[in-house]
Amino acid sequence: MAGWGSECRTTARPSALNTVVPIRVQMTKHSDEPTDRDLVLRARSGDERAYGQLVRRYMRSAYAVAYSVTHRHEDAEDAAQESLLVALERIDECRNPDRFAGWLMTIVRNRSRNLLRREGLRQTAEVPESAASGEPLPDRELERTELRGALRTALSELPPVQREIVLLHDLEGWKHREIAERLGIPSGTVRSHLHFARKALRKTLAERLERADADRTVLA
Amino acid sequence: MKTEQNDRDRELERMLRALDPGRDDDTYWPRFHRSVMGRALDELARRRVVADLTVADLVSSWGRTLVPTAAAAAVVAGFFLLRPEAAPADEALIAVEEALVEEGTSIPDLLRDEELPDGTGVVFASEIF
Repeated sequence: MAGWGSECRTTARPSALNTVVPIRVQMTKHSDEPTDRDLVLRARSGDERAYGQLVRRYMRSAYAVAYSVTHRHEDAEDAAQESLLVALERIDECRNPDRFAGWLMTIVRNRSRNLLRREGLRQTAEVPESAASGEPLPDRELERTELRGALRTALSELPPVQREIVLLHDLEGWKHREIAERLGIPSGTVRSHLHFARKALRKTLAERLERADADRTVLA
Repeated sequence: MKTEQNDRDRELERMLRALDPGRDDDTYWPRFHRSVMGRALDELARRRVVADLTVADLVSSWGRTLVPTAAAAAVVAGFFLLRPEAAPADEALIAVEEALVEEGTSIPDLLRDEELPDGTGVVFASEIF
C-alpha cells in the first residue's frame, strides 16, 4: 500500500466540493479505505458495494471532466453517468487497477466528445438557465445563474487540457501529483497549465473578482 | 503580493464551486449515485453469476451440451451401420488387369467407349502416388 502522494496512491480524498478538511485529518480518516485496486477487483466479481464505492469516489471528478468537455450540466451529467456504467462493463479491460482513475477519466473524455458529436455542433445559442421558466428568479438565484454563465464562458475560452486541470484541481481538490498521475502528464506541466488557466480565468472574470474583493473589504 | 494572489486563487476556487450541481442541492449527488447504481444492477448481477461458476459447473455445462450431441451422433452412426446393405451398384469398377483376363471380352471391345452388352464399360482413371 503506497503512502500519501506516492505514485501508487489510489485512495481518493473527499471532494473539495462538499468538505473542507485538513489534509492530515483526511489521511487518517481514509487510511483504512480500500484502494482502487481492491475495489476494482471486487467490482469485477459483481460486488455491488465495491462498485458503489468507486462510483462515490469518482462521480464528482467524472462530472468535472465531462463538464470541461461539454460545458453543459445536462450533458456532463449524462456523460459522467454513462462513463461510470461503461467502466463497469469494461472493467476487465482495466489492466492496471491502481490506475483506475486515469482510465475512467479517459472513458469520460471520450464519452463526452462522442456525446457532443452525436448532438452535432451546437450552432444555436444556448438557452440561458434563467429563461427555463417565465418566472423571475430571486436575486440570489439570478446571481448564481449569471455566475455559472460567466464561468462557462470563461472556461470555454481555455484549451481543453487547462479546463480539465483547473476543474479537477479547484473544483474537485485533486493535487498536482494526482492530476499528473491520472492524466499521464508531468507534474510541472500540470502546475504550468493550472497557472495559465487561472491567469486566463482571472482576466476574464476580473470584474466579478474585483466585486468580490470589494465585498470582502466591506465585510472586513 | 503573494497573499493577494492566493486570495484571488481562493476566490476563483470559490467561484468555480458554483459549477457543482450539489452545492445548493444536498440530494443531488446521492441521487446521482442511486441512478448509476440502479442502472448497473443487471451488469453486477451478471458478473456475480459468472464469478460464482465453479469448475464443476463449467464441466457440467459442457456436459449438458456434449451429451445430447454425442447421443445424436451415435444414433446417426447406428442408423448408417445397421441399415440394410445397399443393392450393388450397376456400374461396378474393375481393374484393368481383371478386365484383360475376363473371358469373352476382347481388348478392342473393352477400350470402346460405349457400354458393353453385359452393362460394363471402361473408365480410364489415373492415380498419382
